[in-house]
Amino acid sequence: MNHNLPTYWRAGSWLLALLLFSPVIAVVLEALAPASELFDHLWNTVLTAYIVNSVLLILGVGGLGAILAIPAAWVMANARIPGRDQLQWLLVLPLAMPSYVIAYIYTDLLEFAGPVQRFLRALTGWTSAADYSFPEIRSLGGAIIVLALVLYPYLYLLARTAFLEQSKSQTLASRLLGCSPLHSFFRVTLPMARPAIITGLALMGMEALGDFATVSYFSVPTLTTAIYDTWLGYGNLNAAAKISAMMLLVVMLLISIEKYSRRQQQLYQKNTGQEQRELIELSGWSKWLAIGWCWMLVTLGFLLPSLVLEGYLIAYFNDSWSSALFEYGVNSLMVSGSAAVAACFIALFLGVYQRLQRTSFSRIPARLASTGYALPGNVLAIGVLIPLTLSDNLLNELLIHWHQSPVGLIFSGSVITLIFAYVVRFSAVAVGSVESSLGRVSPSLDMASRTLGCNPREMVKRVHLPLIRKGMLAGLLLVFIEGMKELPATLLLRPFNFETLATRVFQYVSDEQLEYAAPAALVMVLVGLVPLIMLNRSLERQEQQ
Amino acid sequence: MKKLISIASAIAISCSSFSARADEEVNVYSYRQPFLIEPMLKDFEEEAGVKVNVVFAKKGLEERIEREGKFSPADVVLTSDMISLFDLVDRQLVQPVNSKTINDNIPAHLRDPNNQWYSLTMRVRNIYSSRRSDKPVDINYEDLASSKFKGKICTRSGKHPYNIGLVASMIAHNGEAETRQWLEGVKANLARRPQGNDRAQVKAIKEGVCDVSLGNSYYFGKMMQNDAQKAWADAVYINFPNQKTAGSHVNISGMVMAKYAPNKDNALKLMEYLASEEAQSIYARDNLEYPVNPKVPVSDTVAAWGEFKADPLPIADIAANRAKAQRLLDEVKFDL
Amino acid sequence: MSALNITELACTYDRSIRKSSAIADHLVLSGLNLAIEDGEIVCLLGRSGCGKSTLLKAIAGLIQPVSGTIELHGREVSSAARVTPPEQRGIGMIFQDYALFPHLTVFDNISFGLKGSFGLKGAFGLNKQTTEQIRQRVQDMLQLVNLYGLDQRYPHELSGGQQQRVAIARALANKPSILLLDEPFSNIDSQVRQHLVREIRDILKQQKVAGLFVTHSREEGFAFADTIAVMGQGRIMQQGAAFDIYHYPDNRFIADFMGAGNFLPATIEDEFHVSTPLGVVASTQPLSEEKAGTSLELFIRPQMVAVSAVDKPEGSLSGTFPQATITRQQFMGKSMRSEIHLDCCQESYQLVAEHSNPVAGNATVQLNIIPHDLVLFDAGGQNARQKEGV
Repeated sequence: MNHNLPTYWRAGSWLLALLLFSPVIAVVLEALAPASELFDHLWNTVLTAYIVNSVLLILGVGGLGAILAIPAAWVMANARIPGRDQLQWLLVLPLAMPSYVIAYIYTDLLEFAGPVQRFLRALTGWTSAADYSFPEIRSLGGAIIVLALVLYPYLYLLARTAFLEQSKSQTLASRLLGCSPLHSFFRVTLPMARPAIITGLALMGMEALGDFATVSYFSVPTLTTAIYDTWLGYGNLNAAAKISAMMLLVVMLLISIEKYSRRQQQLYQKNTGQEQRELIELSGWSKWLAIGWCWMLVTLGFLLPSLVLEGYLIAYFNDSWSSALFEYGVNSLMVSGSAAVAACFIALFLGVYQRLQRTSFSRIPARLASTGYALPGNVLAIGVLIPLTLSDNLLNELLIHWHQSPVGLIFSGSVITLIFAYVVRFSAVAVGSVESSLGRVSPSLDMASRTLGCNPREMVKRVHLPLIRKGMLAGLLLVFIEGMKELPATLLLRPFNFETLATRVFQYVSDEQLEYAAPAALVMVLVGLVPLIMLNRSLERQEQQ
Repeated sequence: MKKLISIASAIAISCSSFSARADEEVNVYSYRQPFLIEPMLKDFEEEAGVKVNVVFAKKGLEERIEREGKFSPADVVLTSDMISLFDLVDRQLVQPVNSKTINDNIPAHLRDPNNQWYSLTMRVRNIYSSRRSDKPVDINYEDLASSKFKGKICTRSGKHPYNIGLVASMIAHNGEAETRQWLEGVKANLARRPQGNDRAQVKAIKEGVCDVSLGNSYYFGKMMQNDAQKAWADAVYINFPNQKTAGSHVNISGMVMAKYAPNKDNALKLMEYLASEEAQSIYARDNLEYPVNPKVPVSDTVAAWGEFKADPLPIADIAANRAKAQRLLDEVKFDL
Repeated sequence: MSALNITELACTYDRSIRKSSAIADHLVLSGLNLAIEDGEIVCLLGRSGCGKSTLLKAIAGLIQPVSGTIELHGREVSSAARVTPPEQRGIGMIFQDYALFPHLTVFDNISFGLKGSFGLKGAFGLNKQTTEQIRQRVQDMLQLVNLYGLDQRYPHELSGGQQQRVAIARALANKPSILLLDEPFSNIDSQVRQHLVREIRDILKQQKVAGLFVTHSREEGFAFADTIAVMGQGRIMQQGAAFDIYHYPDNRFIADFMGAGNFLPATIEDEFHVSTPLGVVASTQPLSEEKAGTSLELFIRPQMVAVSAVDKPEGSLSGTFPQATITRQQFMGKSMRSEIHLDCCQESYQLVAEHSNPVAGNATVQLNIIPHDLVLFDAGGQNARQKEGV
């Protein structure tokens, strides 16, 4: 059924999509210029090593993340263990912990001069590094562990939902056909949750690939490092854009894998949701293993780092507390909040366009708007800067042409840049949430509301919006949390006298003195906690429906 | 939904007014950390009655200024090393300043003959050595490649501007081929992959990970003033390399006036202030750097490290090698 | 030997309740007895929420009974003390949603239980069967369920009926001792359903597999099963041939559940007659030994009510039978279903009759009860004759 959307809706969808896509175009155009000799130089020297590091990082973070998240997700979906209600949301909390903070804290704990190794030396009488070997935290392995610890909740959330949506009868069928519970997990439960797991892994992979703060702190050069180097070190935007375009390709590949598996998922899922869910009673060692596993994740990913931060806070309170923190907090809230609202609004606009127009053509805007997620923050910063400064200059030239006084850089010189950058970078999250919730709304509801006299706009307002409210909320909260932590784009694009919690924290992390930013870091984590808990609540409720 | 839209647009409108446009103001793009320059800027605000707006970034300000073009609000750019200073000049994002006051305060070798850039402070690239062994006599940067330091050297990333500056000066003195050999030698002597900042290397010496490290001079003083880090500083000697040869490599922090500075007069005021005895003594006192203004003495802490011979090579000659230096670092895979 | 024998089974859903005092309030099943002979197909009929699914889960080994036992071929598999895990029971199960594995082809679905692929068994080559045997078995099964040639399709490429056949093939490939069928036809189009029900029954009979078929549809139960077990209030209320349960229900609940019927007050006249608002009704079999004058309730299936039109104007008929009016008529194909309003003895009754002779709607009619073996319920709703051991 083709609904005739008003023209403003159709045109608006394309305009919004192109707007969000413009930074990507800018980067790609920059990359299309003929190869400079610098690119060959990089290719012949360090680039291969960077690529290998990036690939290993993605694989490592994905692999470790899967090992951490999937058992936890299964336990939370299927088993009854003590403290289950608390663990449900505790397990999501590491998402509020910026990776660069946790990287700093673990380095502090585990490096040669850190308390762990000091304790070992005191215990054994070893004196120097030559006496024993201890894994180097500032290494690829360290980066993998730290990133996996903060990114696993993506996979956890998706896998848990997938496990919850599985029909019990399939597991029972496999048991009756002779599978032990473990066989049944590997032969039926896991393969059926594959699309969700791949989606989660793709998300983790993109985040890991785009990460700059953690890998630079651990001095593990990756492709993001290469971009920084070529652009800012060599001052060669063309080579940097070429590398970005390479990364874009990798991420496109990840996304298409994700899309492909989600398409399969649609075919797979038959909703038999109304059956009552029974939880498996774990006993003996399996119970303790499950409890231990979940609490280990919570402890390593959240509790321990928060405790260390609180320790810093107490020890350095006088040097670190400042009333300006309030201002930074408000800045963070305002930028992330507006970006989240804008991203959700755009997602709704495009999602509805795609649903109601139902041509292959109408899918394009939502896809275009999601591409920004594939750009690492620093590349995105360049990408955002190019169209915004262009339009600023154009506007001012026009004003001068019309004998008006120029207004200055009203786009690129204001908070609008930041909000725009966040929306470009994270709208994919919102688009994804809205798309999947709209997908759950039966098309017959559209026909019903249209035949009952609604025009498309009324239908969206009276039927779709109430039904996808929770999905939109989930998208909103995720964009918000990501925005709170966003760093590379914020650092480069922020206007005068503008500091957020994240930039404040990073400033000290990069100077290796996080101790002095402990209050800011704690406030950042706390502000992230509230939406996370809300997010988890709303997802749980969605699952129960 | 309507409510959301109106809230969003209200926020957007209030945001756009953020780029404050007071009557008397000056806009600073700064690579220097806010807490380092805030005391001076505050002092200047009070003295001159001009509001100072700051954007602080670690990287990428050149790109931003270039993209902003002739409507860029930037008046003054402060850099923390010679690399970004000369990038700004080479990209033609600066304009010459004609100020006798500044020229009187900053010696000729620390500023551009064409008045496009000015140094504000100097920092020596020192070699720190462990107190577990004797203070080395006459240590040179070149010695770091010798086999006696096998497995004993710590440094931060070779790609850090401070190290690029050092490598650029090595190229200027010894030529590219020799510098490549030197870098390969240093790399082979590293106790661990380059990581952390200059301070972390001293900490590593204290913990016995390595014996010598490269680091800027002011870090030593900063560590001595910090209760938690004093033990690190106490574990090392600060050495001024190449005293018998070319002299120690000195990097600079600097300032330029942006090409399209909209508040030119105030920018000039600020630049003159930063070169003045007043601001220079804050640099010397608070940040333990070597002030460029000859009328300002170094702080007592720094004075205690003794006199030293600085590399007399013109800064521009060193900075000219920065791209070569970066390439060499890539070619020897210094950080990998 | 019985394929399945359930004795005095009691189950509760909420496993957290362990105190014996609280258990009684949470019992879903209590005192349930059920036996299925080899090769017999039993239909478990009951309203939704009566505990059918719980019983299936208990048989499959997912629920531990509070008391009672479940035996499969004489082997005890469930008791309050011990529960054999599902994979060791040799049970096949067919689900309402088919429960096919969406990530596997038809072939892989059917061969699923034949391969012990994971773990030690697979590693040491101790597969249950060789590849060739498996292939052969799958082909046999596909032939059996009439899906030959579809082995490389995925479940979502099949129709509902085809999916259910795959499910049957998958369950039977394992040669289960008993097949549990949980509302297997409820998602299938009504045109296909009748045919599929017959076909699957034939397959079970041909494979000599005992079956326990759960449904809430009487027609499916009648068509599919050898015997019907009516379930209510957590236990089996009556088990027997469909005809017997339909015509001789043990109580009012079963009578109602098995189909429409008429309840009329009745007083025993003598061994073969009761008097009702419709006059005296004759029974072909001797009635209960209750003495004459006892008030009972007479239960009459609609097809036992004969309807004939009254030609003469109202009031002129002899007073033997009271007059009645048809209020609604529905053509059923081979018969006509009429709802009839009857006024008699200061009371009015609504009756249902199924008759093949044409009678105009709104007509005034005369009702006759065809003499048959009458069913009478006592005040407690129990079959008055069965209670006394007739």
